[in-house]
Amino acid sequence: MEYNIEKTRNIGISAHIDSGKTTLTERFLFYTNRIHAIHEVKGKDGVGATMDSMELEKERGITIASAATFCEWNDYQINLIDTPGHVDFTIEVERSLRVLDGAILILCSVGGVQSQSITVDRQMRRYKVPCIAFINKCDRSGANPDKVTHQLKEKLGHNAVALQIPIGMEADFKGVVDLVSMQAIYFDGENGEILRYEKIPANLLDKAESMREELIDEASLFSDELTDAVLEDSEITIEMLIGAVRAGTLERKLTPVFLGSAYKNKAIQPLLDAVLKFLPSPEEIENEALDMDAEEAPVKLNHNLSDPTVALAFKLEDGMYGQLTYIRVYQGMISKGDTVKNIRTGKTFKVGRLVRMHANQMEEISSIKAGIIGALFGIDCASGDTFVSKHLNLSMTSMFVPDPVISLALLPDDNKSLVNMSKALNRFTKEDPTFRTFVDEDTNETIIQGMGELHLDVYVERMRREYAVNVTTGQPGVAYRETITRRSEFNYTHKKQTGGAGQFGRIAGFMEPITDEEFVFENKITGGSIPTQFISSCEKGFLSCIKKGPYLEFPVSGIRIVINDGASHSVDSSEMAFQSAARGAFREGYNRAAPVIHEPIMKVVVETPNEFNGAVMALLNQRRGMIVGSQEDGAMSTIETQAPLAEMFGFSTVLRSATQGKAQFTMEFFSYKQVPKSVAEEIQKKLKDSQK
Amino acid sequence: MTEHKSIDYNPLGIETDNIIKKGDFAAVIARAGVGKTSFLVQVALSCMLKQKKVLHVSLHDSVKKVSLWYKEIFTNLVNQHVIDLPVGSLDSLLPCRFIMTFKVDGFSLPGFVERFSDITEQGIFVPDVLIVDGLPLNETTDKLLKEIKAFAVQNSLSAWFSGHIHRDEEPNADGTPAPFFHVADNFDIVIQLQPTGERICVNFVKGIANDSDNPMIHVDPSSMLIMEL
Repeated sequence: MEYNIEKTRNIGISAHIDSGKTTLTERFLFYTNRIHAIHEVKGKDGVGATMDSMELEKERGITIASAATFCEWNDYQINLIDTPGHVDFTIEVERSLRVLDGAILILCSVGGVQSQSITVDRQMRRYKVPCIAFINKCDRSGANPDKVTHQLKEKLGHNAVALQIPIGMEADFKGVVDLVSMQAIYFDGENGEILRYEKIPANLLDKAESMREELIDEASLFSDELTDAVLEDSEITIEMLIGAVRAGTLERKLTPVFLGSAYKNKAIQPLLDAVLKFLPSPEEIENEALDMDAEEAPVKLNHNLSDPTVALAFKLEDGMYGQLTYIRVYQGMISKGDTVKNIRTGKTFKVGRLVRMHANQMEEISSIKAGIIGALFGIDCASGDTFVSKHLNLSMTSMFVPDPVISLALLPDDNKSLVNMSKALNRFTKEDPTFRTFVDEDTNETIIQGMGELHLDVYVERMRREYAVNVTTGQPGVAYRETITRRSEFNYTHKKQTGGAGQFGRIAGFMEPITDEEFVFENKITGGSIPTQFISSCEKGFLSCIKKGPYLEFPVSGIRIVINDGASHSVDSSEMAFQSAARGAFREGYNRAAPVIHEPIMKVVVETPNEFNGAVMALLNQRRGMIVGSQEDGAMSTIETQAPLAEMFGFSTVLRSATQGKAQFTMEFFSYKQVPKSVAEEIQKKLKDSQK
Repeated sequence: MTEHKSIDYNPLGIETDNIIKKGDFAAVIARAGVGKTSFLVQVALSCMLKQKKVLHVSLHDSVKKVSLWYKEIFTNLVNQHVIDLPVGSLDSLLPCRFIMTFKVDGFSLPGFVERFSDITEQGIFVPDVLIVDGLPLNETTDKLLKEIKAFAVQNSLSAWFSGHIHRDEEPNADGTPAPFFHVADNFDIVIQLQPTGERICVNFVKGIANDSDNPMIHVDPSSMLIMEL
């Protein structure tokens, strides 16, 4: 197919878990002839949806990694990114949104706007991604698209406006009325592939007309032509209305709402049409890179193919033939045989095979042009790397990567597993910046760190399945931190005389708590009481202490150390002596500075039917959760809590059993807060026991 | 969560305890947009600073928005040196606050009592003060207010309400604005916020005398803080 940037759409499908993202993507691929049979997500037919290429995803019925795929619809090329819905994997969602020009926000017509939809919507707002909404599952009992549209306005603050109304509802859901063309559309054939256009049923005519009026009212704010037509009472053409809605959508001031049922193959084709009509082409989105030669000044990128190349690697995958790197080209083009530079490493490499992906099948192409998403083979890089033409020094803006809050010790069962585990960990850390790993020097155990229990669980499972690693996992550990709560002074002399040259160094100063930085070292020595060449040794000595605090051996943060006096000896003072002196001074000051432990506090949002409100609050209260508030909305309540991560292990199981599986929750990192004294004592005791 | 020390902050210039006793009702009435919510938040903060537990019931804002009100008002109080605490110390006050939100249409006493029992019976949160923001105070809620009053007396709660008044409707004979006069007898104290030029005057309509014993106060429209004149 010929390259035409105006006829290209890079879109993502974002939503709450289980709202039908993968099913919808599957239907898109079916109607665009990319696949020839429809499979169910949970693998009931033993095959599983095409987009969930990972075995684990098929089994759990969730999408873990974003698979990028493309399809064609009415001469347009659509690059689709299927994004995961669970909050533990939001780095995947965020990364996908970074490379998208538009998105479909799927909402469940029964569940409506749930907490995860709020998180995903916030992310879309952060990356200014224009979106259209699709209310799925209209065939389900309890479906209420009007309520969901209202929630879109109330809870997410969207200026949501319906472009369709349903014909029938729940089990009687037959089709939709298109409010732009004022036609009823029915979906016939075994898989809803035959569209039948008819007159609007008489019982829906009034509603359709009044809803169209509402649509025109909202849309007229974005088109003078439409406003004039309304005022002059002249004919409102389809093009006029589409143009106005499109303008509002691109500005993110209007969210057109569509509805249907992906599972029952209803109203998917009109949604594909809507992607072409209302979501932007890459040209319509402004993208910027940072000029590394000009103090990261933003540089506007354009889509000229003759301009130097700028591309972003947004996802890595381990394929059968080596590492597959998904990229989006923002400027110029990347062709087979080109030499490009990785800005992070400064290394240049020659582009080998270029492919376009369709879930886990691929198609070879000769070049990836500006605005297009594709994949490279055999490139050694990490997620988020920028590739540019050799002479350029531009980097795409880096994404915000939160620090991990949970850790897990891994112990491979045999030598083969050990080798495979290191391969797997190497791959995962490149794929996911929030997943980290290191070897604990004391216990010699391999520790993995991530954003939540499920996050780490999935990687352990992937290791077992994809890399045949037999591994025993330890208890999950919380990333505690130490800090001081008051200013204290130190004046420490390190003196050793054991024959030959001795060691001598004295350091005096103070330490105090700070809130906005992890560690600050300041040298306020006047008169050379510590010679300049030893100052860096002092800093080194202090730095070595903050990795493992003297209180409970957790990393120390939020501390400012100022040295203002000291002494040296012309023969016995050395770098080593001052490092030792700094360590001694740190211990001396630290113990007097009232050290405390800080723990990660998570923001936990539980959505529960009202009848379980009390039970859920009790569960959260037992877990040292501080309930901020509860919000009642019809039959459901949302309870917002701040709870320590340490208490939240296994919460999903407990919540399920307490609410007959009717409640769900999301959890994300909120902040670090001081551990209560009694809990700190418990932690101290546990640590002592484990060291015995 | 660390406990905080009791701090004396009395936005009305009179100790909040002395203004309103257990079972008493106070209303802050004003036209839309004059600052009823921020006024109630300052009353709530003054109670929280004295380690009293406040149940904030909002019928028009989300939990997030109510939390933001508290954060903003607290930050203003700190920045204007009204209270001598660091901005971050709001965290230590939060265990003294519980936010409940309802839809105005869906609000009923049985529903509220059920939610109230969820938190009190399990000892999760036992409030001393009730703040109700967004309940229409007109003839339609007179019965509901009487029921809430009985409930408040039973649970030893003092309660603060916000009431929306209309300037285009005639006040009653004693000057109580419409539609509040329909329910005025339920309240022991009534405070009216009245914009006059550059400031918003705080008038004690009922329960507190506008005399020399009580300081003249107003609301600063830029920070929404209650200030002495």
